[in-house]
Amino acid sequence: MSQGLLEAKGICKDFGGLRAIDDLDFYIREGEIFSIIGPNGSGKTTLFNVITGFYPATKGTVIFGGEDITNLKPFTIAQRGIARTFQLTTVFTRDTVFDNLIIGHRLRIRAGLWGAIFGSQRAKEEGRKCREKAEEVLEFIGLAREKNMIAGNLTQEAQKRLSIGMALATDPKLLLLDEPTGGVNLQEISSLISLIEKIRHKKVTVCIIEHKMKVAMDIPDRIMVLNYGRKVTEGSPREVSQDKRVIEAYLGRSHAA
Amino acid sequence: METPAKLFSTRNLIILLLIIFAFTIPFYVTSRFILHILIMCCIWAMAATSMNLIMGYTGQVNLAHGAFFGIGAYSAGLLILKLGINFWPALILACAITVFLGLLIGLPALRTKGSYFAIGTMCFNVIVTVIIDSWEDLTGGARGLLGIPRPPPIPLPFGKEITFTSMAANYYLILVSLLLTILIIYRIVHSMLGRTFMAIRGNEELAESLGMSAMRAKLLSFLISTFFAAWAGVLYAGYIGFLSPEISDYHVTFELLIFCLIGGLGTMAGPLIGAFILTVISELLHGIAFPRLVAYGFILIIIMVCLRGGITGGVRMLWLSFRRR
Amino acid sequence: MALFIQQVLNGIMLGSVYSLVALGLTLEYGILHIPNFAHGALYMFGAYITFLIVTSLGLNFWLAMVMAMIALALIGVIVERLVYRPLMLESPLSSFIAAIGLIFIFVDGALNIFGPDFKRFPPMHTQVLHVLGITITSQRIIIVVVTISLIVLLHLFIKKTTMGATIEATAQDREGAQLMGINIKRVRMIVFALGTALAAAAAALIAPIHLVHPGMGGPVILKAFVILILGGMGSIPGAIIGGFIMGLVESLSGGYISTSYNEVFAFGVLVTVLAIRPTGLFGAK
Repeated sequence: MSQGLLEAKGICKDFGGLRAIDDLDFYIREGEIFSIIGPNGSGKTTLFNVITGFYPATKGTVIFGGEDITNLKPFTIAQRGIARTFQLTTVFTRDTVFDNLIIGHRLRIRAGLWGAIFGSQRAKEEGRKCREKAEEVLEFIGLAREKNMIAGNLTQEAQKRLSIGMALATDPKLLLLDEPTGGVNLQEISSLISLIEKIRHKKVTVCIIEHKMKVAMDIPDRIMVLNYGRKVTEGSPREVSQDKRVIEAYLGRSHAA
Repeated sequence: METPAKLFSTRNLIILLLIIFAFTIPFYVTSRFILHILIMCCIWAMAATSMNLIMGYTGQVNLAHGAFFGIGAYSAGLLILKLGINFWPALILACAITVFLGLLIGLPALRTKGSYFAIGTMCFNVIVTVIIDSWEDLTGGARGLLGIPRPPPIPLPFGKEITFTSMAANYYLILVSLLLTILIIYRIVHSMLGRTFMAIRGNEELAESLGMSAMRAKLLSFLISTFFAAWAGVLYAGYIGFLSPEISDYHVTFELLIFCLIGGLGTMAGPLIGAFILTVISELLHGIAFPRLVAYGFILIIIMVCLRGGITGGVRMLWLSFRRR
Repeated sequence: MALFIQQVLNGIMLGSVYSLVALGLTLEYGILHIPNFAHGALYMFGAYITFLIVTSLGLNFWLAMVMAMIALALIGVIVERLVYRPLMLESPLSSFIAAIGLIFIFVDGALNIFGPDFKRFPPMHTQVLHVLGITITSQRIIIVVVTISLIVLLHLFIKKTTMGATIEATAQDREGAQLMGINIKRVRMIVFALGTALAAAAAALIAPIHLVHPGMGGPVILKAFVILILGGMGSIPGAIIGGFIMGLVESLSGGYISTSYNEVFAFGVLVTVLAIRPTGLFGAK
């Protein structure tokens, strides 16, 4: 019986002797915004890496849309419909904003050798599709003015938008955002939050790793709290904020009492 | 990256003029020496342009390129001399053999990254040269392979034919091959496939997260480069007629690398400029006891430390600063 | 059986020299974070300088070797300062290309200055020992002894002195070291001087046996890279052990199979290991 768009069962991840994720079960429902919070080192980014195939899982399974995607290669998982951003903003710094977005849609086309050399009709169509998608996403993330700027010259916040845009250009069903508001000031946070809401309206399921309590509590429908690689609790923002174990995890036992 | 250029831009005009000029050269240049230099320039330009695809556009430091040039040349030479196969089918077969070997090498080699890949491919290059040198029964070893004939005539309608006994005919054959190579690689680079290669060059992890298989892209780029390297090698065999293990040596690889660098890695014009200028200089200084490599060495270091982006990079900077005035 | 032991001893001698070269390369790699491809060319220059001092100035071999080490250390410092340091923040490809430029300068320079012929040292240390049916020249024993002494000295230097600790710290975390007030420039300089001095020592030691010629650095540096990769790029124990393994493989395959293919064997081993473990035997990520 499937419980959602993404299901993780019994995930364990070891690095040598260190167990970074310990027997983790959770699921993400289609269409919701799910957030994962926890102190530094609780395994949040590691979890993203396991789900998206960048790290092999030591144990456990990941099921996406009813299919087992455990330990598939990252590019396959992206093709299946999971897109992600990275904690350290990752864009193609030497290319323009528009070029960055064009390549985001590449996975949905064939881009074959013969098409490239002989300029077939299909190749032309594919190129057009990617450009149209790029224009669409450019508008969506609000970087239309920066279309021809070199990505490396953008502000931190604009680069974050761009990386989210690139992930969106892949037409994902599930979008994993790793600390999307990292290094961004208060004003910029609210504009990023509205972007995330817009994404939800486009029927893309979103899972966010967050550090800043305000963001982590306000937007999502459900939250999961991790500590030392284990799930501490999960539930609605209100339930979680009142859970003693969460307070303990962040602030220590004395504060929970 | 470049946006699609307009049909009648200055750049296209210059290119068209250059092509016309290249085609009409044999009409007013009859010196065998000059034609020989031009032919060698074209051969090395082909090899350098193809090396630029895997190194400049896909960002993988492939130091086995010379080996594939040599394998292409020797394959053709052996097919022609030992199996009596005609030059034209031998050309296709030699390229196919080399690409196949490229696949065998590329699959394990491309699992490594960065410096490891560079050293691994360099070692492979050395191995190939050693094998060619030692396997005397097959390749003639250090004595080399002699007596490869010029390409046989191509029959035309009305009982005429194209013969390859004259310098001019060989020049045209090699020029056309070079132009085809440039055209094909240009089209690849400016396609979505080309963008994929450049994404791998930019950030492999990011490219993977966007759904591109780095392994597949690198392998494809590697094999395409290998194909054209082999083609250039076969043309070399048919023109020079004599092969020795040195033509697959890692020095060849390094020279091709220098052509790309001095001209400008990651640009289409770069390898061409580098190949032409340096081949001309080297052939002109052939007889003179000139410490060619010492000079190359200094030039390389100066370019690396002072003038990144090679000649095209320097020209581009000049052009940009000129336009800003 | 006698042949076997002979080859093994030969392998140990070769291996000790390779270890020294690989060690120098590893030190440089630990600091530069890219392999110094010109290491072999500098190695070759060390041999020539030793040769010059011995033949023209008529000085004692050991004195010549020490002087060559100092000379190479100075050259190494210049190379680091003028070539590698400006390229510190660029992509590794730039340093690699610059290194090729250095190789051209040194190798072709040597070719033009000294000529392509093989130079022979005046005979020394030629006492021959006969043990258990095998013949060894004292030269070979000296090589092993000196190399091991140098390795031990280096180990003591790194583990027991402040400078050594500084070097280790910088190799592990350049920025952290800078934050601690360590002068990175000086560390780079010293490490490079050390690395090239070791290369000079190795070259000087092997030169009386293998003769001196401009291309002598080529095969050695390629093997040193194989060792570097097998040992795991920056692991000192890996470099030492790898060096001895390389020497043994080369000696045994050369003795039993054929010398012209012995390089192929070494690289064959490399390619095989990399295919199985793309980060080398001892290496981390």
